[in-house]
Amino acid sequence: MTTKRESILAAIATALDGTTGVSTRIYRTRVDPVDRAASPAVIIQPLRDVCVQTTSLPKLDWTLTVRITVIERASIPDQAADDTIESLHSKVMSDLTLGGVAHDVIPVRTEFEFLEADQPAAVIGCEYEIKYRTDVDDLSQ
Amino acid sequence: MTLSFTEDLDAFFDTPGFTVSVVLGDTTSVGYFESPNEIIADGVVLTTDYAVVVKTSDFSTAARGNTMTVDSVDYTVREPMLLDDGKIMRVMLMKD
Repeated sequence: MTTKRESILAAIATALDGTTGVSTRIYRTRVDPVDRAASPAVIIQPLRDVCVQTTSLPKLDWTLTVRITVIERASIPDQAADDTIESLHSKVMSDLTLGGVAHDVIPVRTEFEFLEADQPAAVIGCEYEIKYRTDVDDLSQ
Repeated sequence: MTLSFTEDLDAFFDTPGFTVSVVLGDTTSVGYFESPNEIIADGVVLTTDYAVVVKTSDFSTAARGNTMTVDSVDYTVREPMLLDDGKIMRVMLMKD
């Protein structure tokens, strides 16, 4: 069985298919660095998953924080990444259940890091909180 | 005792096969080209640190945004950085 967390991450990856400006360069938790030929790119990765049990029901309420990172190289990289960020946001927010595995999707923040590289570069992290519920003893249900 | 000698930077740069041509505007000289890869942004980005080491007196006017042609390839100057006593410098480059 697959955990709901993994199903959510897979649903986000599927939703981001066709994101403006990145072609097929959409990666799930890529750990190797992105070179110039692979830019611009989008990387989907979980940051944390926190649960609370707020009722006497045998259920856990989870908040999964996901970062969708855009890596762009251009003379004004954040400006060049704007279309990609607009596109990915619309795609993530178009179905707030992510195909029925989540309760809600909430945008949290966008963080910018600028780098002096072989071209000016930016690493732009768009964070979302995904609310979902599982059984106490089964993360897939 | 004072040790004095006259530096001859031309000797340092007179090594055909190791140096390459460097052109900035009307100035043509030679330099040592470097292009090491580097991983930055906490492992997220792989970049190439293009640079050329030249005599400062040859390229003292180099400034950010200038086009510098190194070994027949065009680059854009990021920043000139003086080395040691400032008589040679490493010009950091971007590739368009």
